[in-house]
Amino acid sequence: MEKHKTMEKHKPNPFDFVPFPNDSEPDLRTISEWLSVSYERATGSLTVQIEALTPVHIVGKQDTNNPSNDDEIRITHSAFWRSGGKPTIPASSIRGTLRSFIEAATNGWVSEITPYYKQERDKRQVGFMTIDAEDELKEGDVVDGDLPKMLPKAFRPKDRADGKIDLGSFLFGFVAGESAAKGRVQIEDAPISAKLDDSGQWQIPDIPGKALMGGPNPSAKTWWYMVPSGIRKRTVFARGRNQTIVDFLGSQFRGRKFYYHQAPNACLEYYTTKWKPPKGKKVESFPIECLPPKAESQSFQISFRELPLPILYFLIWALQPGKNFCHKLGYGKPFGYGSIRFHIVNVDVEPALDLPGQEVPPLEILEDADGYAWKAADFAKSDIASLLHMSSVLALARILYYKEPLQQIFVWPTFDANGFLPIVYDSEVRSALVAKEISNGFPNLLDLDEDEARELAEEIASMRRKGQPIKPALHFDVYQEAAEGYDDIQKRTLADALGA
Amino acid sequence: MSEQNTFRYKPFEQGVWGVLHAEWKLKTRTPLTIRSGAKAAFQQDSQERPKGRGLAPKLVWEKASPLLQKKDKKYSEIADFYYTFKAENGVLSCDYHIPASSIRGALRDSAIARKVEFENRALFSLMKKDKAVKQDENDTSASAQTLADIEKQIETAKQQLIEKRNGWYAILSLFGIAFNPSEDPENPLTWAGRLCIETNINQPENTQVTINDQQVDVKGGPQNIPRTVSLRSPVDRTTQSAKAAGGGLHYWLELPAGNTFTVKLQIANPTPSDVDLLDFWLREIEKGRLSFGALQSIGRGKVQTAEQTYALFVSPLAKYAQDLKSYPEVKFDHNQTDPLADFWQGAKLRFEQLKTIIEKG
Repeated sequence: MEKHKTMEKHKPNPFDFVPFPNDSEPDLRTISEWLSVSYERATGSLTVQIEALTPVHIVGKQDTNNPSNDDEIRITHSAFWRSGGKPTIPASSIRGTLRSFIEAATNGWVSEITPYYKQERDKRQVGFMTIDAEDELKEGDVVDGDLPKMLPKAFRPKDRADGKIDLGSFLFGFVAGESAAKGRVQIEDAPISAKLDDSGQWQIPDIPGKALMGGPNPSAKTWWYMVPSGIRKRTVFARGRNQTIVDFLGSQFRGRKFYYHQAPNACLEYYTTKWKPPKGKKVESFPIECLPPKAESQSFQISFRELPLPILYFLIWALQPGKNFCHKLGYGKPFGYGSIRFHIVNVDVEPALDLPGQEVPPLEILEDADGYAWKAADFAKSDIASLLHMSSVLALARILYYKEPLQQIFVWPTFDANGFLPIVYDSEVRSALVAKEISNGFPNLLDLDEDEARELAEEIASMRRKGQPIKPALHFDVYQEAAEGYDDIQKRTLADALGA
Repeated sequence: MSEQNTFRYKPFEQGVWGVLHAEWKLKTRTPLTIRSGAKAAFQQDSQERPKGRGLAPKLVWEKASPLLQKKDKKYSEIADFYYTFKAENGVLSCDYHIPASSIRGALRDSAIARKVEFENRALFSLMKKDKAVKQDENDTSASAQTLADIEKQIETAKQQLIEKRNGWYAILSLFGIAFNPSEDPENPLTWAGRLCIETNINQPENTQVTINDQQVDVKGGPQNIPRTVSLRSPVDRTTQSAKAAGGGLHYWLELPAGNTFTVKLQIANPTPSDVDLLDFWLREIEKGRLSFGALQSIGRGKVQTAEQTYALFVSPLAKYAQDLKSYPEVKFDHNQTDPLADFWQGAKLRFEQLKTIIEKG
């Protein structure tokens, strides 16, 4: 793909997507079928510790400067979450990290999704639904009924008549409609007795008033979170008159979002010295109390019940995917915080059934549970390969690749003409369509295929309005592919991530 | 029906000849959450601002409903720990409590999960025959098959009880069953259980709740256990943000780790398989495989046995009566005015001693 030459180099965006594939759907089986993966089934527990690769922070109490005006409010300190007075990484955070990863690696259901985003003045001009959830709409909430549901149907958890569920649901449980299945994995909190770093050396970039990026804010009118499907005109009142602008419509969410690893201090320096904040704001930072790099949590248990051995091996792999393939957990992920490794320090396994004659299954792979024994070729031939969606695993491997020294910096697009802003006018889109020979114009709505959408976005990004770019961060892939260092990211292989 | 498929079990056919009293003092190794559907009102901060968290947390138990119904949404629901009301001396009070059914259910489920093959776990779950017929009203062949399936399931169930190849017999003889009340009254798959459970969780009065690292006073409501506030914020997989709607951030109260509660198990006519089950549950508890209450998926409800006591009471005519004489005597402690208090012969036993006596019998 040829990069648009006139686009200036920028840093890549801090997150990327594991795409929802067009050519395959989740592997769904009944509980009996999942159990039948093998008649050798185990019950037991893994004793695990979390090692911080970059500082880890779980938000507890956050102090502010308490100004009278909300536009001036700043966080002055963020303390680590405590349970019973002790710093703790909550089990729900660990479980969420693991389940998100497993759902992506197996091309499974999306178990947690906001059902709709309502239209909101100054925040979201076009509301949309993600799943069939009309009964959840509250009175007064407005969504655009002409837009499709943004989560592809195949990935929505469903109370199916055949009782089939995905692997994530088999492991972690499932509730949908009148159906429910108890999970087979229990995860404990990870308490911390190591000394936390509250020296102030670890800081999160921020601006007074609202959060730096206002939190993830998926929009139905740009191609940032959404796969492009077309464009639509809309009339707005701006600068004292009615103007026709263009919404860039999507057919579905791009995929599951994961954050890249990066060095927090380098990232912070970039935000405070080079990044352009919203007009009138200055990037500052606040200190966070962290589990520092190389420090570990106390050990905690991940218990499992009646898992066929290949699925147990898969769970172990999901915890320790590779030498250079690491998870992220907690607060500050976009800024490099929360890169971790799980270390399995003990495995306790017994037959799933406590009945006479049952034997402990062979522990071949479990003898090296804390090792990273997967070579790429062996991996593809292993028992767990049949549970994986390999193109999704490759996408995960590229995003969650971790190798020191962490040199690549990832930052948000800026809040000016070089990033998400501004809106795009009908006349500009018409020029771009003509320039790319896509169309001579459009009455109201125009469908676009993937290539056409890409060309349109590249053309718009190369255009100038009063010398300023027009919305380079319109199309996610176009923006990333033009970023400095993104070529190297795309060259990462699964073998690199496995590291064996 | 052939004689081979005749299954007959009447747990009290010979009367009640003995009672085992087991008392376990269990210490929470992880927080314990027992829910009831009741909600209190909770807020992290006294005013809603774009930043800051946990600066002035507050929990309101008395008159929480009006606060939760207010449009300003200053307060969020927090799921309360299970509590019950009692009226004593003209005063209504409420106390936090662990329902015995919760313990019973956890014990029964853990035994089935580990002692019955997956393929046979639904064997004693039966669709009612009249409902089966109604579901296939328009298809007579389907209804006939459904009835036949049910009959076959009953026969298979009986066969498994006769053969005792898995844990069903031990489990059902202790917990009881109401499988098929409408069948032959001489050979029903229905009998009373022999297990009775009580719990006790009372601790010194505690008017405070721990929120993160802060202690907050709570006026009113049950105060007989320490409580912490815990929270969970499901993260949307497509945006990596907290879910903005459809079941997002939620809070609950739980009993923190390091606290004890008591479970009393009373087993009438104890058998070797009952003692095997007790042994099994104790091992499962120690290994963290048997948990109690809600949110076990995030590690809640794990305990360890802090103390175990066993007292076996038998009729002087029972087979264990002679064996018990060599152990420390214990009186039946139901109450001092019980006219039958001295009828039973009782001994205080350690678990290993109990196993020896019962298995020998």
